Amino acid sequence: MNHLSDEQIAAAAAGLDLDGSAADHLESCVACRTEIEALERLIAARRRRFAAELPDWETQATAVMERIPAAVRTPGRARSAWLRPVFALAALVVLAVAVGLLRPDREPAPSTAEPSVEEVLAEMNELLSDDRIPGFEVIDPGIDDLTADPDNGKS
Amino acid sequence: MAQPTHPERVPDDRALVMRARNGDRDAFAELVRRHQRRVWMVCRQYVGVDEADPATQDSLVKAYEGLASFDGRSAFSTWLTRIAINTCLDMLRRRRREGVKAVMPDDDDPGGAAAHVPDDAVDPEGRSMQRQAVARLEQLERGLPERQREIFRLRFYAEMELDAIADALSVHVGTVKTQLHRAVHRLRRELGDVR
Repeated sequence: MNHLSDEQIAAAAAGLDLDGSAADHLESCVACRTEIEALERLIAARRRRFAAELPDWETQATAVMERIPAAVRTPGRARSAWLRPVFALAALVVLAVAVGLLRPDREPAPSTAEPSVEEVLAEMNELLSDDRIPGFEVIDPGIDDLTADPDNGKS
Repeated sequence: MAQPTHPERVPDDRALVMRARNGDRDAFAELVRRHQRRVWMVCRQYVGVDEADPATQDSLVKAYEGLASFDGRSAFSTWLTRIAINTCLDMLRRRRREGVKAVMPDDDDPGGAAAHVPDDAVDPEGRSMQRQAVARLEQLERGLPERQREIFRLRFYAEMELDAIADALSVHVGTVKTQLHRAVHRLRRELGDVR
């Protein structure tokens, strides 16, 4: 097989996958590997320059941790930001309900006090003395009187 | 019979995030120690050596503030890298707004690469050639299109994986591969014999 193309050398140097035959060739070809390694060495040399610039990590970490209490009170600030409109809406609803309850012209609410035992017994007696079958009193009494409707309900 | 000894379990990032969310400052301090180097290297590529430290600190403080929004869909390191990149881009935008001359990440180093590159070549001629090559690489990097330069530096200097770069930049991993390949191909071509 021929040597790798420039495109393939670049792909290999970039750490990208080569197809099967190109990868096989690279494994066995010193010349192609040398091409890639030359660029890798150069990049590594450039990377080493950053080592001379690195800050003191401990100092940096201390500075970050010192800023945290001043920066935020709780780590949940981001969550409360999106909850803010929800809370505002809830507050409005509560306010509207409160205003409705406090309106001066509002009729007094019906008493919700429980009836006394005597009242319950009286109601039960009234029901028992009614000989109509409960529920049927709502039916129109004329419904059984077919003669009252000359067209037998067709109109 | 002696009980088998277990090595001390090191909490993973997610466990530390959970603890930090509940107000455990030590947990966040551990996250800072684990990731500050990576964050600094990312910031170094965007804002230069002078601003890299403040940008790193800002990024880490912002990460703490936003811990509640970390949903765990990506790795903590990737999420943090995204914050660092956004912090740097904000700094660059602010510089532009304030009319400060944009400082390229490599322009703030008057000594140039040659002053910093340790000599791993054995002979003086080899060392000299390597310095020249590194200086040339720096120069050529600056000529790359912005996206290619960004991806090239995140890959080789911040040593990020391709999928982490894609996640941090919110692009498809295929885009990262394409841009990286183009950048390396162009640099190789332009470097020519300097390599």
